[in-house]
Amino acid sequence: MTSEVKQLLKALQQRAEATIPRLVFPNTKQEEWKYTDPSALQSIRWQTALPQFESTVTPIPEAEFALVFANGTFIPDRSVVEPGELLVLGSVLTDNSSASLLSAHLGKYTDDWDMLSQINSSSCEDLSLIYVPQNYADGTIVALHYLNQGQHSASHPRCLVVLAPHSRLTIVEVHQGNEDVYWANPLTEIYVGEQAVLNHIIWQHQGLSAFHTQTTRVVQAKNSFYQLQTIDVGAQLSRHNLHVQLQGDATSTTLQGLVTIGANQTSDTYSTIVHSHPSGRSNQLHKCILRDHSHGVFSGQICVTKQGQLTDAQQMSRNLLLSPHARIDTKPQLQIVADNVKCAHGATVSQLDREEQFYLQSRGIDPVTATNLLTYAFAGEILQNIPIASVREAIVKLIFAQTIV
Amino acid sequence: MIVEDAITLLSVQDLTASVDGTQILKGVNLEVKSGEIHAIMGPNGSGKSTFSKILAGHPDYTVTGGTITFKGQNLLDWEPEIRAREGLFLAFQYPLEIPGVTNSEFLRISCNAVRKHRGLPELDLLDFGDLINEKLKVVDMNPSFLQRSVNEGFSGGEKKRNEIVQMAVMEPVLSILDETDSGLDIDALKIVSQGVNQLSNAHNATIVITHYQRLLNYIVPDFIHVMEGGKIILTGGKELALELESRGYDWLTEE
Ligand SMILES: Nc1ncnc2c1ncn2[C@@H]1O[C@H](COP(=O)(O)OP(=O)(O)OP(=O)(O)O)[C@@H](O)[C@H]1O
Ligand SMILES: [Mg+2]
Repeated sequence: MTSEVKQLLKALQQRAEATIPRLVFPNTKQEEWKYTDPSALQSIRWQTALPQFESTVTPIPEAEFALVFANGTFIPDRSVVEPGELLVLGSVLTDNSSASLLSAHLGKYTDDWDMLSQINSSSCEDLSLIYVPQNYADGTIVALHYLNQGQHSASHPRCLVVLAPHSRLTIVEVHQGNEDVYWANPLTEIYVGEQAVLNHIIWQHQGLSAFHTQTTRVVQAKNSFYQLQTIDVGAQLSRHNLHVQLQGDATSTTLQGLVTIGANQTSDTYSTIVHSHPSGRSNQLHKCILRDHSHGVFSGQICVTKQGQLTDAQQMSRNLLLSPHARIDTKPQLQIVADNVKCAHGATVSQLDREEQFYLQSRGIDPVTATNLLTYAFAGEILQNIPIASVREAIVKLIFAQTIV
Repeated sequence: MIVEDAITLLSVQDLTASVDGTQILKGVNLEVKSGEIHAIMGPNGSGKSTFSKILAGHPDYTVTGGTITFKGQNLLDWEPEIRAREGLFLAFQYPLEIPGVTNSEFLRISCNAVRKHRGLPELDLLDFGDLINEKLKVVDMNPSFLQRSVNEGFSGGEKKRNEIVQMAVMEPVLSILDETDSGLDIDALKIVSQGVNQLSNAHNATIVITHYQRLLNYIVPDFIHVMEGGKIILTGGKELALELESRGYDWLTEE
């Protein structure tokens, strides 16, 4: 029976329901929401989304596992799950063996004071779970496809990823949907065990009317390696709350974000890395390509506690404004208590280089292609690191197709 | 070479131009016919690069007077990319670096843009691969440069070679080489000059801008022009280079 699992979920929900009344909905008076106004989210009466879908799943042939969710609900007959050593569950309700993992990790890494996570927890009837056993390092790729639609429908999918020591995995989340005004509020909790390696890709390609608020909570054990690439393309308003917490020495963390938006889109990345153990290395690069009246926001906290000696933390925010109406707010924040650390951060805002554009034109290349080529070049540094060829190529194509006028 | 029945490729008359409100070109006249090789020499700051960039259509420069006719048409009517596709090529004095765009991609997009304009079928990756390997031979360039970002980290001389590879790919009718020789070592100068000579024929023309007579031993000009103060103040045959080499430019303005 799955009653133990159900009880754990119930406990999570109840805890959230008890907390929510004590929280205020995110608003621009809060420091964390200074640059992005989420009030539109509150003005809509959201309905629980039904598990329907029309969109086709973006194929990722390299992925051995593909979990498909329609408005947050797992769709088994669209999914590909290979039985084997790796535990990949689209729904934990189907497998009682997940209970011990859930009780060890579920809800342990989230922030009780964060409204969006609590909303996710309070509606958590089910979740997906990926568990990589010790020493399992086959280069396996797991794809999570989140399909969304439905006017005023809200979904709060949740996923728990646990890597046992010395294991290795690549996961790619794809969030997509149609032109309805829907809200996706996914939350992913990740535990990377000792010496484990996780490559994580989040490809946010929601419909242009959508709201996308995503929370990623990562905990890294000793000597572990976590690499995240986020590609933000869709949604009228997207917000990514990213939090990396260290639980051991000598961890390595690479965070790369690429935002490419236009029209009236807003994309806000709010990230925090807490170096609370010695000798951690983190490297963060966030790049925004902003067209039309779009608005990019990047707030990057790096906290180095007293225990975080010999931390090496690098952060860079680079922004390309392709329109005089586009706006960027970028705010790196270092809070360093330890005294023996190497930390650096920086931010740049630029426009396309006229001389480069002219150089390309003088070689017969029209201005639109020239702009796309230079934009692509700006993004290339991140794109070329995406470890899955089909995803990399699809995103490259997408960026080339975004013609600028 | 001066050929019979040559057609006039470029005709510049009384060209004046300014940048940021400063008048730089003060009445340039020049006529270039097919088959010809012209050299433009002249002191630093006399307006040679300005002139070449105006021909290529650089947006920073404003033509304030005069005409430029290219293949019988008003060149100034065309955007830079159209000029390039119509066959006007400028090898830059200072080629730019474009990080993130590979040389091969850049060359292929450029090649196909030109081919499309000229009514030729575009080349796929494979056919382009064959073509580019031929073109690299013109200046003896290592194919490994194709995989690198355009000019990024190239040495001064490698950048200049890369310009000539682009020229070879685009098959222009009028090439302007702005100090392509500077930065080249002695062997490279020979190789690049041979490449340029290999690309010239009775139907196209070349303008080389240079400070050094040595280049003109390899690329032998039919005419040498001296630019000074935004004007061409003297035109002569190839023997003029030797005279300039020994006497400098001062005597021209003193007389
Ligand atoms: N943006 C600008 N604003 C003001 N003056 C400029 C600008 N660009 C070029 N000039 C001036 O125009 C003049 C001509 O420059 P140009 O580069 O054409 O000379 P050049 O003959 O190519 O010289 P060199 O032999 O050194 O390459 C110079 O005096 C230069 O300073
Ligand atoms: Mg010059």
